[in-house]
Amino acid sequence: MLNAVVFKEWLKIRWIFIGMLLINLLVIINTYFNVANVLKVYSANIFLVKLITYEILFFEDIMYIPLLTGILISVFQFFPEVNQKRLKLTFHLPVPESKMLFQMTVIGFISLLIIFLFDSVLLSLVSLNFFPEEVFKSMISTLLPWFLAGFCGYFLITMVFIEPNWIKRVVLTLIGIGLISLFYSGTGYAKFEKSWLIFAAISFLFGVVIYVSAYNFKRGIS
Amino acid sequence: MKNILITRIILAITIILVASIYLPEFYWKITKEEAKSVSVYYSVVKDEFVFIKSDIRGAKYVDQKGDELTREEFEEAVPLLNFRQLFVSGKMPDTINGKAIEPKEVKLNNFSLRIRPEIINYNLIQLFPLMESQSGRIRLELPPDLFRITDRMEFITSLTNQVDEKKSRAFTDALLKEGFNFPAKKIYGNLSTMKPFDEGYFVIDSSGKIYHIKMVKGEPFCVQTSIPQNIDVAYILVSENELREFYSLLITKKSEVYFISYDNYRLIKLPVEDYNYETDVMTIRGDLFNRQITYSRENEKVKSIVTNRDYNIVSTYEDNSKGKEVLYTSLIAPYLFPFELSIEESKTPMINFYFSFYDLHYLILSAVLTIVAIIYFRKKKIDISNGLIYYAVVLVTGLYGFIAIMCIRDFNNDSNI
Repeated sequence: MLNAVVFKEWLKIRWIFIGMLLINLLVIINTYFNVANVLKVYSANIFLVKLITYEILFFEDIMYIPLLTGILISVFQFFPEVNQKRLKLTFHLPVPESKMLFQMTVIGFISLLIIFLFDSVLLSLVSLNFFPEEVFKSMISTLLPWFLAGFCGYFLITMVFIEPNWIKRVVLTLIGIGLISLFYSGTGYAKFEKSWLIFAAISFLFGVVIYVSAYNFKRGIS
Repeated sequence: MKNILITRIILAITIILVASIYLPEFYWKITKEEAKSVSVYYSVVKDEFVFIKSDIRGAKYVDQKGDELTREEFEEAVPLLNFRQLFVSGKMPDTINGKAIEPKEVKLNNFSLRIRPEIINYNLIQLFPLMESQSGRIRLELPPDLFRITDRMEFITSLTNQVDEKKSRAFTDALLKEGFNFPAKKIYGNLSTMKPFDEGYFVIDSSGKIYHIKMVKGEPFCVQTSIPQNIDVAYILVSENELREFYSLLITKKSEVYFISYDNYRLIKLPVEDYNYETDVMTIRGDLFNRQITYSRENEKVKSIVTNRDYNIVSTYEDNSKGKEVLYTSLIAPYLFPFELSIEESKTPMINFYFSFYDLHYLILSAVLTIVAIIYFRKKKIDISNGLIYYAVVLVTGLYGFIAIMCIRDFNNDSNI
């Protein structure tokens, strides 16, 4: 059963997964050349001191890409289900809907995780190629909330698709947008250094809310 | 069934969390007051304090009695700060307090330092440029490398991103000779090149000793200062100044304030009382005759202490009226909100959950909302056994809880719950 679910979900998201992986790759290649070109114009020491004192985020192009990735993966995974009314069928299989949904969202979650790890590795290579490791550490700490925003975006869109009631959809969207906006607060490097764990916990708790929508969906509560 | 209840509780908590961040934020946004500021100056001519009160309409100059001064009168009252203008308009007195006034001397003795809580909380990337302090050039230049002090002092050449072994070894050896315990706990310096000369860095080693590190003609200059090891440093503000009276300002975790003097790093204690580095903005202004230390806490107080050049108090000014002048918006807020959660604070650039609780005034609104909820639930005939938890949530978390249960209620119209 698990294999079948994995296979079915993979069929739905494989193209968007590959597509988003490519978009992430292109953005990082762009970042690489942006830095390389700045270093052809300004001497590296002057640029580095500016980067440190003015907290220039050389990788800021990627900022909203994880959010976009999360949203699109959810759309490709759940829109066909809801649109073609397949979800109703899925949830009526002799498996508890929460288990089924857990398996489905875990697949979305893992594909996001792979893309975000891919981003982290590539950006780390860019950073370590040009700058000392201190810059790389601060960069990772700065990327974390953006990745969390990606996961929250995925959870939000998923619950909006599954939720049958329009008013509840609006409420969930408001909460979700409120939560996601928090991850883009602050300017400069590593400002979530002391709090990212709490934010991560909140994000994943928010993910759990999907089950309320699934519960409502299965029982036709609207 | 139990799981679905837990997830509903999580949803409620999420709503309360998001509401307690955004509702107060929105409230403060729509009720924002015009900014007003008061700057305190000490007039050596009048022997009293004078003020600039400014808002969006412009600035007013006022003396201590409250009488308004013209801009010219103000400048003449604070001649050393405004010496350029007064020299141009020919109004600079030849002598002040019996001392002949030389423009060069006035300029040399004028300085100003400012320290905000936000600077102290900054988490800058720990890489620093060590400038050549005796290059013989007029302008300071950035070195080709940045240093870090971990298990040794390392210089990383920016162009190649490689460690400069020779320079790293030279500085590490010089530090070891002085008994430095690696790694550095904290590194304080002035990264700007827009300063008259460079005094390098004040570095706290892992055992709490404070070292002074700079580069003199390409060679390391590393000395252990005489500053006591047990002094609990909150921040060191390095500020190079032609006067060469002090290297930097040192603030301890007990909010004591010292200058680190050029006299073999002797500490000069500044006579500040009830200053708090975590909340107050401090400005220190110096001139030919005096030092003026002013610190203010937002909406609470402003205090200014004037000392002579030996740091003995000459005059003090204190105004707590800022706290009394309560704005109507901040009077209403405690009635509306049980607490406020913000993730950004003016005192620090770091994102975290900053919780502020007003008082129990919010209970009035909470009680009203609870009654509304009770009536609503009765009308909708929702089981009271669950209602009790809901009412408790509204009573404790006020407006936020009310919004949460109204949303949850909608998620809860299932006969099983």
